[in-house]
Amino acid sequence: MEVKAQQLRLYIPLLITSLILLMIGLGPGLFHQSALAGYSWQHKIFDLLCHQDPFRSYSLNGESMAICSRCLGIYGSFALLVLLMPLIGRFFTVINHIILKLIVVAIVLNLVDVLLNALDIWTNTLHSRFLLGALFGGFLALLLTNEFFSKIVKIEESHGT
Amino acid sequence: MEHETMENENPSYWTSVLIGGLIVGIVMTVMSLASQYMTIGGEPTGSSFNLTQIIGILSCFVGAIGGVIATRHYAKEYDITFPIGKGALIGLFAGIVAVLFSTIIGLIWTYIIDPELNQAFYDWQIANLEAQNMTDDQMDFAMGLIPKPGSTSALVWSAGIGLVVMGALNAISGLIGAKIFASEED
Repeated sequence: MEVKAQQLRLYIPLLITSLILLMIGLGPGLFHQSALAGYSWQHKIFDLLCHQDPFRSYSLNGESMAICSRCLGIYGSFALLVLLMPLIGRFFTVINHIILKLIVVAIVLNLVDVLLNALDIWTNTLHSRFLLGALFGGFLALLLTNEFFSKIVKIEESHGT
Repeated sequence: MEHETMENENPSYWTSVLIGGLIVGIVMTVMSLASQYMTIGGEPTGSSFNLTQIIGILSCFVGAIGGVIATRHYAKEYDITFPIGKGALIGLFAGIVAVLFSTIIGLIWTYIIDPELNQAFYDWQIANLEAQNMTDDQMDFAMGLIPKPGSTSALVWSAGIGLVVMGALNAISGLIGAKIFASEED
């Protein structure tokens, strides 16, 4: 079994972009800087895209991350699985229509989690939000695996002797 | 004749880019303005259903959806398939259009419709910093990250960061959108 790497010109930028987004999202703690109550360049960058509530974010080196735990799950699992794509492509067969359904399930789970928590029907935690975000980001990355690394099945020709 | 055939095979994606970018731009502007008004005018309501919280949680989904909308529109409108690289490009442009559009609406709003909003929000941020008992050095550092309203640096900060981050994120979402809606597989 061989794995064919395709579109590396697209895979490398995707990998670099997702890793950079994750590193910025990890916040000032990763760079041993002070967040000063949420005022850092990392927080500024994700200001548009995340509520950055320190009570709903993990800390790194004592500083609140620039993204909430759910976003950390999304960016983290996406970047990790993009990084692992060559291995996933080698050892697993990714069936896209199943992954698509799982993406929809992950979106619904996240929305239900947000709504039930907002309505005080249940209380989510840092970890539960992280895990639900990670499901979503992970499935998104898996969906792309076949585009970059797909298995080549060699058919042995028999000549009937 | 040959040129026409080529054009039919590769229709322009700019309409789709504009649609994706405009939708995201409008929604993000509305969410941003709503969140600013709630911040400056907001006393804690005691309600468990906090609209600001919901807006914050939805903002990442909304910000990244432009690439998906644009690639879906492009694929369905012309009933075509295209490579994910093209989807990434469409998403990148949709993200850029969203930020440009959002910046323009924001400028119109804060210069013409409600010129006092920016100053009020700035004052609220300063008051918020002062309430945290920072040292002078910390205060100076934090103030450096809050550009004065209406200044060029405020515009460059918000539009510049937005272009890079939204461009990158929507390029990824465009890539995913192309995979879902325009893939030759299945």
